[in-house]
Amino acid sequence: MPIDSDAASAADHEFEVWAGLTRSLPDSPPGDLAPIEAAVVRFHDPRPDLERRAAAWGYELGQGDLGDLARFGAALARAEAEAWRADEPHLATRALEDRRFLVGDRIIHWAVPYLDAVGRCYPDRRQPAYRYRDALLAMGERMRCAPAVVGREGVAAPGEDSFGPLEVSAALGERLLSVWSGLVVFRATLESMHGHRLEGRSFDEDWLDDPSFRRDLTTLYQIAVRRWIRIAESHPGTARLWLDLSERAEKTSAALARSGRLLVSGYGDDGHGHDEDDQTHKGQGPPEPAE
Amino acid sequence: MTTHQEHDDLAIPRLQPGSELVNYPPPDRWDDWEEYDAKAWPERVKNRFRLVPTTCFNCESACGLLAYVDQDTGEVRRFEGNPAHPGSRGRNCAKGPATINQMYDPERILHPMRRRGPRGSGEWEQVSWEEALEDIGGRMRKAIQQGRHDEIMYHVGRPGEDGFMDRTLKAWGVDGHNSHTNVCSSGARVGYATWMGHDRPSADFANADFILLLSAHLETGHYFNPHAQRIIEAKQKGAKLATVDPRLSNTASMSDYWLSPWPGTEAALLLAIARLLLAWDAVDHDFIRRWVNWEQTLVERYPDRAVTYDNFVVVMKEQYASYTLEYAAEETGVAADRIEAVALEIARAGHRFASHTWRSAGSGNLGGWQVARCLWFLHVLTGAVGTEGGTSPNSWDKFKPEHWNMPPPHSRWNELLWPIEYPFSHHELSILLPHFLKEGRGRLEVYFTRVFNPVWTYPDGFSWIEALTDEEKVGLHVALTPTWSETAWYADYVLPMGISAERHDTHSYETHAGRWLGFRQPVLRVAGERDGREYRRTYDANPGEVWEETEFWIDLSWQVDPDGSLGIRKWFESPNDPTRPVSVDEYYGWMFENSVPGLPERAAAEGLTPLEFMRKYGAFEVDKDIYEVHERSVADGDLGLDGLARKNGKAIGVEVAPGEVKTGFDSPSRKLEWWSQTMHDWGWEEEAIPTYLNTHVYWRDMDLAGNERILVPIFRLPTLIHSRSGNAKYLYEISHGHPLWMHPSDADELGYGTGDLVRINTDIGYFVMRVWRTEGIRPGVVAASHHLGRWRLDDARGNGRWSSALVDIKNQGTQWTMRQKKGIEPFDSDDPDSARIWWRDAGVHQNIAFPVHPDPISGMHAWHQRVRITPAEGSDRYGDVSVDTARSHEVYREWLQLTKAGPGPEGLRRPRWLHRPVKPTPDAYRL
Repeated sequence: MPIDSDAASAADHEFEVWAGLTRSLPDSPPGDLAPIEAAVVRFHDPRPDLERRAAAWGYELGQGDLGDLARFGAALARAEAEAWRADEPHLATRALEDRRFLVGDRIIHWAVPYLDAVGRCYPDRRQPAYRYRDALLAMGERMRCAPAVVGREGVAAPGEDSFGPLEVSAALGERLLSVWSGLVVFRATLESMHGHRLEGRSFDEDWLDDPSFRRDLTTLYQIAVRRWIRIAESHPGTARLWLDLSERAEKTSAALARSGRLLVSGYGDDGHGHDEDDQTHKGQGPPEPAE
Repeated sequence: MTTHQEHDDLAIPRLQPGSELVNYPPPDRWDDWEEYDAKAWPERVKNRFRLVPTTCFNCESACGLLAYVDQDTGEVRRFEGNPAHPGSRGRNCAKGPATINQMYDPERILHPMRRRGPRGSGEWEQVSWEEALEDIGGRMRKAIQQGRHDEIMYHVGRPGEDGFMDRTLKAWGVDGHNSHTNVCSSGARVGYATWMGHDRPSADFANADFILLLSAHLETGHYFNPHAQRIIEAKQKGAKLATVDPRLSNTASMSDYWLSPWPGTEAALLLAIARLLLAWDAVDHDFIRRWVNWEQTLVERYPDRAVTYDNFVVVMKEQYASYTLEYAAEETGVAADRIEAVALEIARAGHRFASHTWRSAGSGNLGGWQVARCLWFLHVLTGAVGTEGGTSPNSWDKFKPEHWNMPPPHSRWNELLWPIEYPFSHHELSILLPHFLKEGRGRLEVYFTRVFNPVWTYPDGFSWIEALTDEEKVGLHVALTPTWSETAWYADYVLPMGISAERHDTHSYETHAGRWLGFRQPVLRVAGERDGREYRRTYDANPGEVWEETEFWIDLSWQVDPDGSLGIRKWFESPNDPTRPVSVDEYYGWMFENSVPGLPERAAAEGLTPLEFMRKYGAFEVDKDIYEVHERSVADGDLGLDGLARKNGKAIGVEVAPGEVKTGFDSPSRKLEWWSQTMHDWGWEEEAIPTYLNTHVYWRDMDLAGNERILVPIFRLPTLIHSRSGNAKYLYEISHGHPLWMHPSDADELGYGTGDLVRINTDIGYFVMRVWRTEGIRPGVVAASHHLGRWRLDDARGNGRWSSALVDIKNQGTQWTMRQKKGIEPFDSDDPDSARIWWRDAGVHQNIAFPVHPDPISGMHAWHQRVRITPAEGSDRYGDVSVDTARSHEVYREWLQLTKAGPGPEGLRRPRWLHRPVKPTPDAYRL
């Protein structure tokens, strides 16, 4: 007997949300950052993990960009709805579970900051970008992908937060170009602060010697701190992500304000955020490459 | 995987989940696998492992395991599934990972021991393997030299290997193979064998549309992992599942249909379904016409009928006309509409109807073997034999490699094992051994119990204690065991044998429609050898001096025949150097090189020898998608007038149509035998067709208005394994205690509430346990699982303290009593968990209060008991047992009267075509 519940209708609704997103994706800013996790994060390649998830359902993965992921999400939502109606709860729950982890592990943590930055940087794309962002946040609430957990113990591996390693021994320019710095910075933003047109999305550490550039960049991160906290307060289902991002943004802004250069050895040395007794992030040698 | 990529207007594909397993370490990194130590958190501590595959030893299905051998400490840290194993596909039940408990149990027997005081006194001394081998081998040599071959007996509980012991016994020339099979599966085996020679089913669950289980027991416990995962696969694809069980088992609770009949009436239920299939004409006439022995049946059983297929259908309809739905409902207690619904499902499924029975009804009842015969009848009617989604004979899906240098069959016949009264017993009459010894039918000079615990597992355990403590009857008792057990306590030698990660074996089981070969190996030895270490014997690598049997039997055979004069040693000499014993590498290297099709090529593709391949992966898939083997053409046989094609005198095919010779089945006619000529010839005409026989616990014969009830004592707990889980702390933490299941209507009638102590009175005594009111059992039936009720006589040893009660046994003449002095308690040991034990209930040893009930045809012990349930008396305590072994001998004699003793036609002790272990030469069958 088909199961008489609202579950199928809820999945239908979510299908419509995802399908709507596939129809109204903001155009990718030309010559700027593409809506792909690997590009936004830079320090790890999620492709194998995405391929594994897609293969489990026979989904033919494309570029893995936001449009592709929205199609996958829509397909999973429809699979869930149809499974409830076909009296196949084992399939339905699996589709729901896989969609929840898809959103939590592979989409929301980078796509929300990305879309938020698109809206701020590219006014002509603001509406679709914010619509997508808000839809993801609403889904995050329903799925409670990353609720704030007191103490965070066991939620992330030692030396990491919900985004990944806190210490990254990459070149400074690389790090500021990653969402792991606490913010997505587009090429257009850098151009407007620096006053020169750039060949591509890149960062020259010498620019930090310019006090006005450094101040503007610091301010950008300080604003981000508050913005992430506000988002966390209004979205408890994903608050952990935004609190972590706010801490990252705060560390970045503090480092920028103090020295003009980020310390290559990482956030832990700047005297903020970790006390001397916290062995979690210290004395463990070079950080492990992310998988 | 089924994938639908039907893009709609939104370019959103439709999805279907696949079944691929992921997240296992890839095999190319097994030799050096790194991962963080979870317990070291928040520190990041890396561990480096060698992952060595082996196979589980805890139930029969031999699922693949991966041992994580720590490269720093050289110890196994844990066991997980082996994704390269075709049967288990990387998955395990709770019993697999618990192997780590068994390996590092602080109370483990680590060295060979010999008794010092009287047998059973609990006084032991440590001896070397050399001393033990010399003593045991010497006594065997003397027995063989004096022609007392039948006084040597090997009695196996969990075989876990395939063919090595057959070879060993043949080399000794001893008809001494004894097994546990007649407390296990003899019943079902005879039911299947009388149809087709093959003695087990192999269901293609994954592809079935409808699955009928008369053995929730099996799918819950024994073959749980490989079968359950495929049943779930089928359910994911829409299959329906029905379980026939008087008890709401785990499997029944997951089924679409739960049919709860009176125990022993299952055959009536199945025949009612058969009648419906015939009435609806939902049968595969082409299949029946081609593959059933209908012509022979009509000629011999119905000589007044014309030999036409239509007449055969008429005969079947007449035969089962009385099995109406109304009759079946009345007889079985299952609602008619439920039976009809299941019949409809079977009819709809057609060739995609899969089923299984193994123990359950077949092992609970007098005549239980007919349940398997009636179940297979449904397959014959629907043509769901050997089809995709149907059920095949087991041997089609089981791969048996050749063993190196196989000795010829012996020509002896051991009457202690194959008594003349039971010509159809599928396996040895092992439950009757104490009674045969008591009657003076023979004695034993050297009796090996091998991973076998009859004192506890078998019915009538006090009779076993009487036999084992009588040195006139049993000269030397050698217990080969990985754990302490109630039986090992009564041994002269307790020899520690390895578990799954400590021994070599090969095996293959019918897990699905494919064939595979598994290779069990001692993982510490393999890991050490990869590090460049050399070992003379496996006990040099295992914990303590724990050995493996492959090397043990080879070395023992050299001790039996050190100079080769008995003709035994030659079978165990190295092919490369006859002055030393054959090595394990030589033995299995030959097997993998010469008798496993495709393995040498597959290994070569990876630049490995076949042995290296098996050591690397632990298993090899020989072939898959095996269906309709009976339809394979036979080209090279000589066709006789009887329609059989023969080669070297052995039937290998049958002519099913003019000029069409096919492989067929293993029955005498090589067809499916609805009527068995053999049974007819041996005096069992009524039983020669699928029929319904009344059980010894027939509900109409019970005083149900009084305090009589049917006790179902044979269901398993999915997390335990008879004796061997006694030292698995993970498992006992999950499962301990086994109340008496009682329906609320019975409980109200008899006046019991949950937790009340009751006496359960059997034909030979009683035991005391607690009641559990539950609607998960049929009214009129009570049930208690086996696996629990372990005991020891010494506070410090004799059985795992994780699982056993300390008991006091008293004996006066033939009267025996057992009382628990204390239950399970925490204890101090090297394992801090032993001080954390929080469970107290060891359960009650119910089997010891059961008399033997050997079915006169199959020899199967009919486990169900007619019991009287009375309130515990003033002095009764939980776990009390009282038995009169004189009465148990009387019950044995009563059941013996039901038999029809041989010899049969041609003066034979037993039909030659019927399988038996270590088959002797044809002349040995003649009395």
